[in-house]
Amino acid sequence: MIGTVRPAVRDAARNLHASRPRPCALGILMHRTLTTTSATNPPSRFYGLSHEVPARARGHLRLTGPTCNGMQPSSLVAGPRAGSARVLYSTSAAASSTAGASGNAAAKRSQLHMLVQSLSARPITPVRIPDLLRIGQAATAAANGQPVHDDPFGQHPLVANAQFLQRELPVRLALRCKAFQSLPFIVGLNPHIHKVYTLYLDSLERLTSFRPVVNEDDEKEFTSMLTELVEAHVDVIQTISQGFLESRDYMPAQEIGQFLDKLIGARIGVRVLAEHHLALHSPQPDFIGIVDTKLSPVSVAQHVYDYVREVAQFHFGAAPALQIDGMVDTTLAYIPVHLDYILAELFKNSIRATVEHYEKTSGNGLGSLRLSAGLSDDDLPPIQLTVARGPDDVVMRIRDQGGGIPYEDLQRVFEYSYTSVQGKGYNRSATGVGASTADPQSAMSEMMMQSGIGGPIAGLGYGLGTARVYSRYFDGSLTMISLYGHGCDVFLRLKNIDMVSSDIKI
Amino acid sequence: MSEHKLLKSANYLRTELPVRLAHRLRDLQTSLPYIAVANPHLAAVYADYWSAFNAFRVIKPIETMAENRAFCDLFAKPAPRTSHCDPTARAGASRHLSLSDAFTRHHRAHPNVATMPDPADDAIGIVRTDLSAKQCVERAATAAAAVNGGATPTAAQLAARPITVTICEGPADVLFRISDMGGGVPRNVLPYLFSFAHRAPAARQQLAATKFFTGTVQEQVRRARPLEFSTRTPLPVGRLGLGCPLSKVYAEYWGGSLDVYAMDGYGTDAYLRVGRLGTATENVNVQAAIAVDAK
Repeated sequence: MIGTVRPAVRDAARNLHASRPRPCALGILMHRTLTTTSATNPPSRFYGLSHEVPARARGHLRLTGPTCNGMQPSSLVAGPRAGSARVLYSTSAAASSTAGASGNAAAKRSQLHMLVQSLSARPITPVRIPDLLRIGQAATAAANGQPVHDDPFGQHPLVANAQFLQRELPVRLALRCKAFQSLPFIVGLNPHIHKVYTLYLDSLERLTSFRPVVNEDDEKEFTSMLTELVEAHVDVIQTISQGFLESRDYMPAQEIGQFLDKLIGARIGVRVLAEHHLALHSPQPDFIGIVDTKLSPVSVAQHVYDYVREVAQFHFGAAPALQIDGMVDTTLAYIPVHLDYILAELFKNSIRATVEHYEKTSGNGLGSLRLSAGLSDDDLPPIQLTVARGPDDVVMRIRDQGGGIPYEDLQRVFEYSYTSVQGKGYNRSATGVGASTADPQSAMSEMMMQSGIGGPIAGLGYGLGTARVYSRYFDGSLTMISLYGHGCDVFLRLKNIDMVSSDIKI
Repeated sequence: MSEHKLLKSANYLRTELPVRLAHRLRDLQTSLPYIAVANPHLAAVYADYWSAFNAFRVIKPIETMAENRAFCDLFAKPAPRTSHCDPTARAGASRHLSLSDAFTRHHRAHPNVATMPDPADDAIGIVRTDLSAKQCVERAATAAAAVNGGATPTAAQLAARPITVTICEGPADVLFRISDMGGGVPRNVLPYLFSFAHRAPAARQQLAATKFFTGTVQEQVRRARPLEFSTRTPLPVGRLGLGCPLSKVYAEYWGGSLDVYAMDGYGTDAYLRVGRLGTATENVNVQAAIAVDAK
């Protein structure tokens, strides 16, 4: 490949190779290489990229769906998305044309990467659940004007917590940046993955360049910055899943799985800490920060199911009903958005399996996108949810009659990017997600599929893997049992988040 | 089925049984400590295996029907303990024994005909090929109700909290899901449900008082209804706490599985998967599990 490249580029590459390797990151390497090449040399040819994000992936409808316990559905704004691929090159192209600006940007990036190095060498401070709850109670007490004795310096609990986050969050973000930097080169180049990486870098920069929080005014500004950051990171899992889908050929599945497990786990931790702090500003009854001490799994399930069912009814034409039994009035202390996410993924799988299995066995197979005449909700066997309460946890059993999973595939269901969705109308080729636009209804329906809590109704293969990370984050468990030929049973066990859960560390 | 095939079957059995018995002996010799097998009960088991092994290994190759007859008679000898030690031997031998009998009868009836049509395939020794899953479940339910006696739920209780059995078939196995709403399994019991070593104190005492038991459903039904059945051997006294562990052994013997999931305060689900013997997966040692855990 080197032989076919222009001499200028080849020399640049050779120079770089010959020079002493510096502890610099992927971003710098790319940026320098790009700026030393001719501005007109198309970078894609140099790096062997044979594809661009297709035009199809641009633009989505904003779906105004109901919110679930305060969590917004991922809002997708109409606008160029493929631009992300070109943004990278255009900034460097623009930068190379103005040498001064390029120099400043390079210096800035270099500082940032040094920062990543130094921060990621620091140890993480794990936060135990009782500490999380205590700061919540202290904040509520302070809001009610009661005396608070927690902080040794007599500071307001919110200020103390903000100071802690100011120290702790950059370390965690830096570790994630480092993990991105360790990805294989071609994987890190992927526009989606690179987008998330730069998002983490930029967030790190914003956090570290904020002045030290000493009083409540600082704390208010810090909180509003934190709010923006939390909002900016909402789509990370979706974006990165797209990136890894496209990079399947460049990295072994096991390593992808390890990277994603760590990323999603770390992301949960950072978001729990950040959102907990945000929630402390507006205490709600029965809540300690983001922990709802009287969360009703049944009401969450009903709410989530209604939402998922709407999308499914649009997509498939019908969706099964949900039957709930067991200890329906039980409550536990848990973080609502986590339960939302897990249940949404499980319900999505069950609904899709039920509809497709029914169509297969009743001979109505009409392809994946259909508004099949005559298929009504009553034809479909319902999904059964049973709730039971143990001494320190809640177990939810979700039963469907969706045909089950073949035993040889069962071990792989928790793998990322493992999906049983077939290609009709939803092309899963390695060059990217592209669907035929020949059928406008299918295109619209597909876009509908892309929205919703936590991602599309089916297909990217991240649902169970991510649900697993969420469920085990607070020492819970998720077991899937396949009755092949009949359906699946899923047992979801969630531990109560209270002062007694002292082993769990965030 | 011809004489030639029958003799081939006999010789297969002749060479295979000592191998199986030798494996059992080896396990007893090497994987248990001395003091364990020196225990009189285990020593008796060991002696039984040993004498069976010694008896089978000296048999010369079987070349005539008369020798086959002598071979079959070996199995008819009363060996009260050995017959329960190795189900494989029993199962393997039973097929040959039944074929031998059928062939001999046929030969007596038609002395000049050398071959016999293969017997109907609804039974291969103790293996039945036409077992109805539903009937099995119904028979088991009746037997369980008989064994439980007074602790069997009434019709009204069952109507309120039904026990539901779901049967599903896949290409290579059949799965039974038994769901009840009986309040679940206590936390301190569930991890040891399938353990041979853990037992309630009462069951432990009863096991100590039991000299001999076959571990079959029939035996339990007879014990529950002593007046209906006359018994020659004394029956085990009371519940022994071995039902679950034994069930798991039987389930896994032919590559199946048995798992139990409890929902505290609500009920329990048991998932029994049984392979369909005779399909391609029969000899596969890798057990594809029916459940996958997030941990």
